[in-house]
Amino acid sequence: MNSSPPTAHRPMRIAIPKGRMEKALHDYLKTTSLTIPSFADTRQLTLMTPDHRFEYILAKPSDVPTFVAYGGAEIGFAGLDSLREEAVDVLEPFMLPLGHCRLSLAGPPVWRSRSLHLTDRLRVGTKYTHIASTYFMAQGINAEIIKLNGSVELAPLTGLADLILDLVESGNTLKANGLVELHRVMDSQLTVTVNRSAYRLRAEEVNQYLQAIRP
Amino acid sequence: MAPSQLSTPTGASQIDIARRRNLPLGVKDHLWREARLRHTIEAKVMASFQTWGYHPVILPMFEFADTLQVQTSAGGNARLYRFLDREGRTLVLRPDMTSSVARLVGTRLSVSDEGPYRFCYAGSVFRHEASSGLQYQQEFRQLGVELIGADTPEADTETLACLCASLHASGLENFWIVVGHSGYYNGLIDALKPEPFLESLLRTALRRKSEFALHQVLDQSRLTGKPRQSIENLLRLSGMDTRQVLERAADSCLNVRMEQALENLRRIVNGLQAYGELDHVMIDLAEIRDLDYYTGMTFEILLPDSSMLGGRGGRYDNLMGHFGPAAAAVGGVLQLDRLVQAQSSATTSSVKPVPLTVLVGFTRDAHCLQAVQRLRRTGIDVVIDPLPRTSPQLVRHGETLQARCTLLWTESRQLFRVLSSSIEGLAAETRPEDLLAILAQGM
Repeated sequence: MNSSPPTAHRPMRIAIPKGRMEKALHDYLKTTSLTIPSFADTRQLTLMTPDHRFEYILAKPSDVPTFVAYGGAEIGFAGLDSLREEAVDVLEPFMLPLGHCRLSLAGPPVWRSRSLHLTDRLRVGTKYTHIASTYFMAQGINAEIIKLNGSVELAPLTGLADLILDLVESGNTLKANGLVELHRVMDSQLTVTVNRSAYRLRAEEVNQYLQAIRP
Repeated sequence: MAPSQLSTPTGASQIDIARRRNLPLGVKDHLWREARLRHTIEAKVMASFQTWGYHPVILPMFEFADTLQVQTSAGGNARLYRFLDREGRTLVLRPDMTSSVARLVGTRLSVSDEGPYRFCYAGSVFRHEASSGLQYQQEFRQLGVELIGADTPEADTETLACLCASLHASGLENFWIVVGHSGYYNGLIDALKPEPFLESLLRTALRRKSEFALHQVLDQSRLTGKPRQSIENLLRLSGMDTRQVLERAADSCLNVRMEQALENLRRIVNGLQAYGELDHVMIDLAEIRDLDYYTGMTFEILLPDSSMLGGRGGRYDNLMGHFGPAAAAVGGVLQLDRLVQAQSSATTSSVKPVPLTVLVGFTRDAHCLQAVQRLRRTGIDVVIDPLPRTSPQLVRHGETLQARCTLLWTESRQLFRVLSSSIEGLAAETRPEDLLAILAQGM
């Protein structure tokens, strides 16, 4: 396919999201022809492959798009939810069959029968402030978005917000806190992202890597 | 703020001082080596433009909103800096230079009689960039060329080759120009006439190089046969092997418009090969930025180790008609910030004092001042210390200024005493004419 312009480079840097997706992604990558170092036995945040061709970095999932966009990493694995929330300009060649979940609007069951359009002052707690404001703006709903960094389910329980916009995998966390899913805003899945200029300037290496991990 | 607070600068509170020291987000100071590097690169690039017959134009920093909002490649109107004049008319800080050049040519010159015109410029443009954008920046210095009144692929080639030449002149050898053509994509859309939502999805797919989105387009459009292949192939139509890419693209042509776009690109590729610049060129037919603005060839300039574009441009035949008779036009800009970044990362940090050649200790003697003037007239930089100091203090000051030699004028004997020097052949006591001879040799 593409051949790369001839220049000397540092090893290709690949950003891995730590936490929820880390193990599943590691297991997936182990099934490919690539050598994947394991972050499990170390507290290091960067690991080089023995052949010094790739350096894996372990980043907070919501930071992976930023690392890739700035060129801190050439390739990264990010959930579609983080990608849309960060709204950065990166390439998204394909997705991996991992990390399926959905971003949904949820709240106490009484909201099933209430119209959001007729709510006087709707307050929504979420980590995803960008997606939330875009979503409500598109619906013509003037909602107040309250930024939270975790345990978002607390917001309706404490009266901080009426509803929440959050990731739903099984729905068990919602159920345990007496909340119900009201509307699915988007589906998410683990997505391969590539830095726009690396895609051209290191085309050969990037394509080889993409080829190796393609499902 | 109370007038008394304004009128007593010495009595300013810490809060006042802290506030005054702020700089608005997105603008920057440049000093010392960095400032000099910017000047040097800009001068080299502008000089190179002029060897191709591009004449410098100096354009106003702001114009009426009606002028600059006509059509802008810089993105939506939300990004413009707007303000009002005394009559309440809306003014805009220029978001790019092309509209101003088009306004100038359209209102003051006659392209059909005397064209084509070649203009070049160096100037700052202003845009509100989203704060989530890379390297938050609102003032950009652009160096650019516009060729107005020529519609041939050879005019496209000239613009590209001229920008290549100016990049070489600025000292950069590692750069790539990604060339595309809006006619190829628009021809495809002409042929397939997709629903608006599918076209929008297709644009997203190409913009993100997303196979997933591309397959969504294919599934929902229910296309078969050659049209389906043409869309499937889009993401593969890029690479360094320009001829091979163009050959592959030829298999997917569905109409004359697509064929013309490829023929245009073939002539550009041949032209750039003749100029010896083909090694810097990639083709990408799926690169579709600003489709509403560009009408033909488009390009982006990539620099190593940077996620930001080094420059961009293309053919914009629809713009001139907004200001006067319609005319073909092609042009492009280089981003000075990126050129400087590429050069300073290649060497060392640029925020360092610029070394000085000669430091002379405090003196009022006319003979010395005249001797110094002779040095300056030959291009040697000399500083006369305005503060009286002891010799050791003067030597230390010379070190701070990175002076190549630090001298003290001896009035009684009419010669310089050398306190410190890294210049070969400089005697401990040197007459002005010997100093001039030695320094002139090293230049």
